[in-house]
Amino acid sequence: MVVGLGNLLLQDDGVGVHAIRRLQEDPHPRILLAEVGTAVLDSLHLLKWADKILAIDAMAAGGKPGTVYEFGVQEVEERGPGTSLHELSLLSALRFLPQNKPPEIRILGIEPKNIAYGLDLSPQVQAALSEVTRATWEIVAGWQGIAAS
Amino acid sequence: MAVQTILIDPVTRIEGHLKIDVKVDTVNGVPKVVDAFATGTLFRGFEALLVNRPPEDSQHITQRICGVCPVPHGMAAVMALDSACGVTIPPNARIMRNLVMGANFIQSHILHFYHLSLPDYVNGPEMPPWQPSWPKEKQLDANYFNGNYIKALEMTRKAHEMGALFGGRMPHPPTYIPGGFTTTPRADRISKFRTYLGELLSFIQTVYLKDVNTVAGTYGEYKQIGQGPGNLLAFGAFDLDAAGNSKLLKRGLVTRGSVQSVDLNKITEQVKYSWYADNTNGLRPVSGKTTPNYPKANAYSWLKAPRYDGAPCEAGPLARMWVNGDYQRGISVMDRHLARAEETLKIGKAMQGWIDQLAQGAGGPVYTRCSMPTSASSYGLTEAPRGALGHWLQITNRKIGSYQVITPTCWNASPRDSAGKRGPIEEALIGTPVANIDQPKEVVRVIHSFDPCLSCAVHVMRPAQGGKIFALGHVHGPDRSRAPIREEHLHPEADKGSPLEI
Repeated sequence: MVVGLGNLLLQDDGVGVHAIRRLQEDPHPRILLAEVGTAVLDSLHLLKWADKILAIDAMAAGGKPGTVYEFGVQEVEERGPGTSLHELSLLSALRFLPQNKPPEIRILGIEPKNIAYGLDLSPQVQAALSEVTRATWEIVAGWQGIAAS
Repeated sequence: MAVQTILIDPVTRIEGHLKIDVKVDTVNGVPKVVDAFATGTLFRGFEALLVNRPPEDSQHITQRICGVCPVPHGMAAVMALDSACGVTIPPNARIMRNLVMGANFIQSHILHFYHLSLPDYVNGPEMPPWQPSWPKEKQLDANYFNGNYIKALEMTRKAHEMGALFGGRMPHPPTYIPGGFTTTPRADRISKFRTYLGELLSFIQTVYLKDVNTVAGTYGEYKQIGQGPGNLLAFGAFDLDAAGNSKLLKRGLVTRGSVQSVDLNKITEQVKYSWYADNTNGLRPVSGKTTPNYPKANAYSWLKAPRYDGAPCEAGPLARMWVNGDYQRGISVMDRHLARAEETLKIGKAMQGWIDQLAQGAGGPVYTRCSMPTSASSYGLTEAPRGALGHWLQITNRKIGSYQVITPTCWNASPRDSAGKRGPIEEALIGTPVANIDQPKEVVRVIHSFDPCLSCAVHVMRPAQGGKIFALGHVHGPDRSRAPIREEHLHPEADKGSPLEI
């Protein structure tokens, strides 16, 4: 399962959702592409079926805008509590699922340039979508049992 | 003990942004709330942006006032448009409008109890969003309630999916149009709707009602706390005939426990303590004006103060159930929760009857041809899950000349009026005991019982000097970067500083 996180109304913060829309142009039959946005708890019924999750989200790590990072979930610092259920992190939401078979989680982060009201991505982040798409299918191809199908 | 100020900003687990400022003093050895100020921190500019648009746009635009109760905005808008056109809609359109709005009520009521209110009463498991929280004084089974919290997430999703069968999508269904509805009742959708409704009714009866009663029984003192002004107002909703004379939830006003009829001419909006121009004070909504005036001496809210015959009125499920004669035990925090749960069942059961009617008359029309007049004055009154909702429309040159919306939370969370009378939430807070001033959970319980909904927007507030600030989480870790949205974007004259991000 590939999930796009972030707020579509805050420009580059919504890059995860933009990425999912790009990926949906050429979907894979065994990969669920989900626009989760900020409704993380509302996606539990989808997350519970996933044995592998790739999350795509804006990631402020200090690089140049549009830089794409790939890392494991253990490398992310847990965000503090938000003021709204819309701010619940993916990791927090996953704790609601049975813990006997936790899904394997990878993350693709994209360095944002503009985070303010607006629907459009900055040119740098828009340009990074092709790299996000390439990296997504590369990661997915490495998932056991997926590549062959 | 000197009077201490508690500032709760933002109040979390509500829709939108609300700031509550309460004064606590020790009366007969018990610290209690002695004064309260409710601040809507958001300017809602919808009225202004509707002017000069085609009247039909109001249905779509006003739904965006809120993502939790959009359907009633669509309903109120389309009722005003039907009235302007002088059209009578066919029975199937009326029923499908009711069914989609009913789905919204069920979704919102379940969400309000399990996801917005329950964490006030139950020490949930050690994980967000249950934590961080203030420890509760009573023990309720955390694992049991967490299980139902998750089950309720599934139920709210299914209520949305049910509404989308006829509404096309949820939230913000585009199917409400003047003259009727845009979709026809196909047999497969009727059948799916029945299946969803059956599952939801089973949850409401065997889980939701039981859990509300458990919480109300455990926290019995909250049947005495949070009364408010004692006036209850309902516009009524879910028309049962073409003229709307018969409604599932009736229109009425309750003062001193007795039900009276509603005279719309007695509704005014007062702005003495609101950030609007003083020359717009006391207007009736049909000629209402929304003229911002910020800053303004003594004003403290972006909400106006609607009043009925000069009196503050509480709106919501308790008001509706009282007017209907279905629930008249009392007015308090727990009475609001109990009435809301019982109303959920009442609406769900009525929906079963409506879906049967729809199945019997499925071949009938869903639309009556109508045309928009070049000028008209009309209104649409209905109920949102959280209370009475009114839209007032003026059409001039076939465009919207003016538009006024009075939301339920304007009634409930209103500031003081011209006579200095507090709004219902402010009044309900008076006398609330506060055992620990550093953890004013009693205050939050009173506020949440009203299910306040201040339309979603990002806004920035500054802490008051010397106030206690309970901002539950302004911390964002490195996995999400949000540039602060500065207050000066909203108020160019505001001084520069380092704002708190909400």
